[in-house]
Amino acid sequence: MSDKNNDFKDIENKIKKLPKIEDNTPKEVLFQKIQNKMDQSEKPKRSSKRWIIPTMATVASLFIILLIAQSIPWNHVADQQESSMDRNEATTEESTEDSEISDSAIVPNEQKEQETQIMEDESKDEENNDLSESQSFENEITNEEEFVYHVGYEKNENLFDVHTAVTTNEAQYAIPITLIDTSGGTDVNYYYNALENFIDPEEYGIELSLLEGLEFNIDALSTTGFIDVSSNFSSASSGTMGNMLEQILGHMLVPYGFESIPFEGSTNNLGQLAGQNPLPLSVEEEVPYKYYQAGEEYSSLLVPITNANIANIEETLEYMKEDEEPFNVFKSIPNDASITTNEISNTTIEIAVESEHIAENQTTLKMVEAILMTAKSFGYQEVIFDIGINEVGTYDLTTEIKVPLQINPKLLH
Amino acid sequence: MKTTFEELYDKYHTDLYQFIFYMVKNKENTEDIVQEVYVKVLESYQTFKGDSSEKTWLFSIARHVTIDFFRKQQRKKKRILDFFNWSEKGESIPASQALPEEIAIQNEELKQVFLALDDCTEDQRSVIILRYIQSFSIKETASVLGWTESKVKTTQHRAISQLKEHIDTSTRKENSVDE
Repeated sequence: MSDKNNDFKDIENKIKKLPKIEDNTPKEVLFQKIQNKMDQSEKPKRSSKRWIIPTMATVASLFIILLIAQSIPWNHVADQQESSMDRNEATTEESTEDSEISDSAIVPNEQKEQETQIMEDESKDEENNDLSESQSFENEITNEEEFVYHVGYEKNENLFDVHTAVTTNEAQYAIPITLIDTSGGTDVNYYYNALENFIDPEEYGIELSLLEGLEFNIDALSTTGFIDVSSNFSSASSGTMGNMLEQILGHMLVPYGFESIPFEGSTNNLGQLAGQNPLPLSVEEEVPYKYYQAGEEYSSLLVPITNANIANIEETLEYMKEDEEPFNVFKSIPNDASITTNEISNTTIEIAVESEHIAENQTTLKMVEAILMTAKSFGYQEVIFDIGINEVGTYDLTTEIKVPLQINPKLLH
Repeated sequence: MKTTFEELYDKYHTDLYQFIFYMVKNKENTEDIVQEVYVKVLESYQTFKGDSSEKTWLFSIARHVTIDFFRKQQRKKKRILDFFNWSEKGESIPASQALPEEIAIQNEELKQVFLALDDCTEDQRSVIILRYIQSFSIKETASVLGWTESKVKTTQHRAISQLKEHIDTSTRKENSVDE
């Protein structure tokens, strides 16, 4: 045994003696290369808005010409030059605001399609279309700055959704959260085994501790692997906590296609779950969505209410009018609302809500997103809203809206 | 941005370069990966909340980017092998590359250790480099890798066993050739 220890020490010492490898690239050169890479990755965003400055300059010039024409006699040239300068400054400000928009991470598809459309139109008929488009952008800027979104529509080949779940601070409900990995990586273990690095419990007033002592060794793409239970794992000791863990694992793994998950290691610590190895996984469907907010200082999260026992979507929507204050769970539909539903097809449902509280504000946006998630849990793909307004945030309520791809999205890196 | 870069560079660059080099064992690839790491770090620096230390956060990004690099390499290799239908033959060809100058001038024992790192898994290599070359504590290593401390200890033990086995086998082979 002692020989073995000595051998190990010997190897460790040799590793420590491996030489330092110097980077010969000067700091300045390295920074330049990094900056070039960052510029390259930003280029497409910038190019999509490249028309803004020349367009606004053209518009400003036309406006000045108009002013000049109207202000004959021509003895106020100096004043006009001043006003021209003011307008140029305004143009610069607007283009700055616009570039901020391009950095926003999670916006519904409708807006993206609109942006794409703008880019296409640009090449066809810049001068005719740009004024009205830039005006509609101004409206979006306002909305973008005001609203907070609780669902996401992000989808492209470089993004990978890491489905996670946490619990409310009373461990009453499981809350799914989607981490969106922009680096193209697909190793969910990297996130699952260090969730506290990516989700700040203090930001939401939530609990991550239920997963402490579990180590994920899974491949989300091939739906294989297992969870290693450490000897100090104790979160599933009671029946309630066992059920909660089951729900959390369902939210995490079912979206990848897992139907069950095996446990290894100290499986006796799994309490009532120990008898089910592999553990069958599921996510409760046909559920209402409300908002969890642990206090004024915390951010809110959409939460599926899993103990509701409701028969149909109309009853479900009614249930969304009730607060559950002891658990910091709050209604997503105003309690004076009158709700009617009309199933257009297996995939589309029309939902009408009438309430004095509906307006273009955050509360209504939250209602729309909670209804979209609820409709999704009933298997619908699109919702037609009739709530007395035409838009809220980036949602165009005059047309059907697709159900979201991500719940409580959090963009990483 | 430049100030942030300079601060990070001054504090961690040597260690960062070292970590990535010993993971990929090739200077050109190391330089590419280092740049990629800085891009990711600078892009997300505003969102770094300090839940982990700056150092472990930086190295966890470095590890992530390096693993992505390995995966891309594997996919590329597989595509080439599939294209030529050389899979069986191809997999048996060891990937050989010249030793970096810094290693080539070392004694045989250190060269053996360097080569033996190839026999370790990515996880084992990460632990070996962080623990022995970078002198990270068990706790810091666990934080970088997103593991429990006990997993770090187990992986470390297995990695050293793996290295020992490789070195013993090489030594036996050399001795039998000499005889």
